[in-house]
Amino acid sequence: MARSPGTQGYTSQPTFQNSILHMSLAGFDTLRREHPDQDSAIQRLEQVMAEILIGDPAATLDERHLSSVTELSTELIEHWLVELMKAAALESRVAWICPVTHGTSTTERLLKDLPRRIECQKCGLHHDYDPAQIDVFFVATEPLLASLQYFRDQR
Amino acid sequence: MKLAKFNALAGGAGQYNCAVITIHGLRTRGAWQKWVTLPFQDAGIRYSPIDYDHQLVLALLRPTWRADGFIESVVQAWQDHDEAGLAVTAAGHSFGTLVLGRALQRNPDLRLQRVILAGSILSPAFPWLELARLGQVGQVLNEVSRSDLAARFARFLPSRWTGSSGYAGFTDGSGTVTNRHYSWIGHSDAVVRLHVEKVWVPFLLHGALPS
Repeated sequence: MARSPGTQGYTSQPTFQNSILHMSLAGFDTLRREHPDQDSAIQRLEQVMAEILIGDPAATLDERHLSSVTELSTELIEHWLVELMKAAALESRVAWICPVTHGTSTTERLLKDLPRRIECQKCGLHHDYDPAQIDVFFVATEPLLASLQYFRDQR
Repeated sequence: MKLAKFNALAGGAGQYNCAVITIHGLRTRGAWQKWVTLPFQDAGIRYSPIDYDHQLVLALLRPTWRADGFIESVVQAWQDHDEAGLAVTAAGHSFGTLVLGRALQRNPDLRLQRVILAGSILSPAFPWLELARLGQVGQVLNEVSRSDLAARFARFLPSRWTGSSGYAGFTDGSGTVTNRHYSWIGHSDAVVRLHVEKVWVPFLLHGALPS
């Protein structure tokens, strides 16, 4: 069951950290239900994501950064990000990675919208589409951003 | 996250360039349809294998009637991809080419951007040009081999829609069909991993063929 601000049970003004400990971002209840033995790890990810998104609601979320901040394995974060996407808390985006500079040449909402060939903004060369050069990252959906509101108000 | 990893985790909710439906032949359940998952997934191609179970060669006594019995599973797979907003392609082997051809003939609203035929038993006069004019098919790659005896003898099958196109090619000269000739491959030899990666995947993605 989703926890709401009204059921938190605080008698004193909660701190930002405390509020995160007692609230669920959209999608995280699903994650907890699916992995009841991983509650503390899920809470760590939830806390980090809330902090990132409060700072920048349009922030991109990727497993490497989240893994380094949460100290959870990249593999675990990858699985959970996809589960959060399936729970409609995140949306995926695709990035064409320049094979020369390893920077992002271009991004799109959908893979099928990427061109077959691009003139790279990073290195100035032309690159042909290569699936191996495509990275997927995530952005927050409206429901996830809406569920941040409570945390934002507490800051 | 790499695209292939993401799609392996996300399944139908992944990021895809297009979709492909594959259909196997008779006397097999199409083991190749399992291993092609990986190259398709790596390339960002959403994939639906059609498995109509192991069918005896007796099905060839009434080939068109038998093939028509499997059309619905093709249509369902197509609808699933179409609803996801993806351009749909298809690849058929042997009897699967007849199922594919009949699915297009019986469903005027079925649209396939690209089609690959391996060991085709469709008639060389199959109306690809007409299907292209109706907007039902974009490009067809027909893999032809003079070593394909099964396709060669398919001309004796009792149906106007069957024939030796896997042996002799299609007669359509409109440019819709590309008959790509191979000297030594037999009836099932085109469906090997390297060939799928080097020929099928680029063709399904972009309509491109290696020189």
